[in-house]
Amino acid sequence: MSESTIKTGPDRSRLLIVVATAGLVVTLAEWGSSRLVTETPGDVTGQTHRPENVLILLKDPARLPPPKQERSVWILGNSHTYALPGTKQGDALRTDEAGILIDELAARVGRQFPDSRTNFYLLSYPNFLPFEILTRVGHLLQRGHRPTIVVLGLTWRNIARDSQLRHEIYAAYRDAEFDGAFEAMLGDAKIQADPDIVKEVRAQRMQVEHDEQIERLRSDSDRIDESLTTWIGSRLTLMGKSAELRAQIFRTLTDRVQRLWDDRESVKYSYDLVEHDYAFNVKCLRAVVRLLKEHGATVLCYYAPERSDLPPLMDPDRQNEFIAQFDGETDQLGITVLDARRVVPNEYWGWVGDSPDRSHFTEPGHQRLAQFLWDEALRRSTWKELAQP
Amino acid sequence: MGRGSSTINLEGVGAALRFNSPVYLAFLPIVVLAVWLAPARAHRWVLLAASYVFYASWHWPYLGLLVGSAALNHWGARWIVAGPPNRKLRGGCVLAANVLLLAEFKYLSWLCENVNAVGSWLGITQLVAVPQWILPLGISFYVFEAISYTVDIIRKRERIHSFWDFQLFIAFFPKLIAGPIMRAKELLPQIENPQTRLDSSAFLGGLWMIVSGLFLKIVLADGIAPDVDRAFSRPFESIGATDVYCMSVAFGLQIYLDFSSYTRMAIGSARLCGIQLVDNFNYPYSATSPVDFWNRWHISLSRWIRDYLFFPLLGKKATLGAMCRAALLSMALCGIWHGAGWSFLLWGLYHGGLIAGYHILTYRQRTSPSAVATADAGISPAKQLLAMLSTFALVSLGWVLFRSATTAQALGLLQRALMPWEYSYRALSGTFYLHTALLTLAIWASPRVTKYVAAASEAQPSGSAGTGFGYWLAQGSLAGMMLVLCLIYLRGQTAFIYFQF
Repeated sequence: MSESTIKTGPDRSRLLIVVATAGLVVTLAEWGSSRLVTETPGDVTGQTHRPENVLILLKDPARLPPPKQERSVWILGNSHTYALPGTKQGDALRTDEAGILIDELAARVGRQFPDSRTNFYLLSYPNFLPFEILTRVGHLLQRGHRPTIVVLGLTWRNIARDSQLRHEIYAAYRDAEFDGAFEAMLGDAKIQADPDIVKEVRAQRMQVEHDEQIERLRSDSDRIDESLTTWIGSRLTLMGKSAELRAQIFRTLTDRVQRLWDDRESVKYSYDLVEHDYAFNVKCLRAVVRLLKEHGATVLCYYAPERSDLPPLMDPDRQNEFIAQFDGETDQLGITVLDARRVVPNEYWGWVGDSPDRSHFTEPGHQRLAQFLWDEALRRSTWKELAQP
Repeated sequence: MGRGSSTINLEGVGAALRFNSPVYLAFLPIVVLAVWLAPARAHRWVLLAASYVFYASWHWPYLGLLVGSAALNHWGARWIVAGPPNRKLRGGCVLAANVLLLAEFKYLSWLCENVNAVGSWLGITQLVAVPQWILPLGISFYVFEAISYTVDIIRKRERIHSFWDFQLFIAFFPKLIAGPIMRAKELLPQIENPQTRLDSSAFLGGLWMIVSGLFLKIVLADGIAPDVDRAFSRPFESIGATDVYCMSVAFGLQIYLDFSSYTRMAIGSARLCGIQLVDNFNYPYSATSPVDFWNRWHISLSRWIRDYLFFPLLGKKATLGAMCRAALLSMALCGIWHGAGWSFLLWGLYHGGLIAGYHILTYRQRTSPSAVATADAGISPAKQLLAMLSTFALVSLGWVLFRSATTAQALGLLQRALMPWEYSYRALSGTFYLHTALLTLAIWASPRVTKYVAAASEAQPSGSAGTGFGYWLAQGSLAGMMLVLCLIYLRGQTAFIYFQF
């Protein structure tokens, strides 16, 4: 019997019953999902009221105001810089609230230098990976932005883990002016970007060419298809809110699997370090720092806070090796690197769904981190550049 | 990217051609309605018009190529039968025209690139200009159908059909882009004698094939695709031996689910139009030998290779040497049919080697009378399981050659797979391993589940609505749940892997 062999009943009633039942199931699922899925916060730039000089642009840094003469502080890092965990088990991640690192730093600068006209830009990204940071920094520098101080949060997991370029960062390579200019920037003798990075940048440009070719060849049916998909999505929750539903299914399945087989406590670390990616990521970090320095920025790096009551996700020995190595390069790179790993006490961390959150800490945690960065940088006179009116 | 050829694949372009796109799911009911509202004698015209619209929606200039290719073969067939003394010579000319058409669009750029590579090795830059063709979708499939028709005409196994019926045979939209590769004797009689009415059983069967095909593509094949893509886009230096096993199995599952889902939707779409297409798959991962695998995998291509390449290459005396030679040559051509690239050729040779090896191991057994008697008595379930697992492992390893972007990557990955003691680390996530393992178990279980469901279906007394009601409700609920998951997991319509061949 081949795979397509199927016995179907001879009569029309069977067809009607099967089709009607299928329709009923879809209708019920649509009804259920419309009640299950609630509006989820998207970009952090939403409702929270902030002073005019504090801007959060996670996904679309092209919205950064045109380059100005005013001083600016950039904050770059993963979601620990902007997201807040739930305060009790079962709570979701909060992403549109005040009292995060950028607010705390801006307030301190404002208090210390009341006449200073400084803009604060949060340009972080979820699980920001070094090649992504490099692309974003390169793109903004190429467009003429010149930060005064850059606060760069380094999360070990994102340095040791994989190397990829997600579509919102990849979009930079579609900028015709950026194309080519970035390679020239990296090729500068003072930057000394590793050939692997240049190779990767060229690969992205080739991918853009390929995408553009595909775009040129798109037919009317592609355009009709897009409109049709959007139209159906606006009417059917199952399609329109499919990302949320997929996330819900994934979480439920993961929870079920972990109830049957939970090896999280027994493993030394959950993710293996990938040597090639790790080496590439460190090269990217060096290139980021050199690019920023070369364009006149003061760079303040910190090893992001970690909670100590859960086993580490990545090999801690290799992390210590990395820290020793990077600390050893600070003089040569001309940057300040601070160790903020133990700055946020365990009680300031929270929950994400049913699990303890390893990445994000609550508002008091953000205050602690901001105060630590403020004090340490003050001791090194880093903020003095913001003092002049 | 990276396969070496400059031929442009329009993967991801041409929404109407993708059975998993809303525009196709809107196009199909219109065609089905038009077919069944039209009188039976007009079915061919509705289907031909729909097929031309379907193909032109992708890249209309190539519609001329499709029509021209069919016309060439129709008139070529007339020319062959017109002159009996030169039948083979004329047939050879028509076949050569088909091969040239395929070679020009599919292999010329690759050939030029290789000539230039040799030139650059000799210190000469750009010996020949590399043509930048857009690879016409479905060309490998419709040219193979045309070739089989021409060979059957030469062998006097086929007759001349009307020009427009032959056009529809070549262009029939459900099988145009990625098969099944139909024979004239299978499709043309259905076109010439169309069904006068669609019975509800065929209609339900067609719908079931489309819904289950959508589920296999959108939920299962596209579900594992991102993990597979990420794994194969990693530098192979960072990959461990167990990762290669996992990646190759995962890609094997992905391509099977992707291609078999396409076939299901093609068969379902055709069935709604009153046409029966041949099936392409019969649980290939339950195969117990390489030969058995090819009898179950891409069946319409396998039998084409068998009838038009393997048997002619084998000649009249089926000695062991001749069988091995024919297997290697025909499978090498099968590999290169899939794409212009050395890795495809290596993949074909690998399978040729597996089949030749199987013939060598079993030749004596199959030719000695006592062994034949033992074989007839059947093999033990344990041996059968061992044979299935070995075949699965060997076939899966072969996918590394097929999927790798470059020959260097393929050989690098194979080196890791074959030397696990040297590369004992793991770089891919545990969830990828778990996902692959669960999918493998599901695929292995599917023949038994289908057998069980078919038995339950057989047990329902036909026409007895009372006892069949529960079964029908279950079938409807399953279809509904599959549709719900399809709507949730439709993340932008991805192209089918076999579109690029």
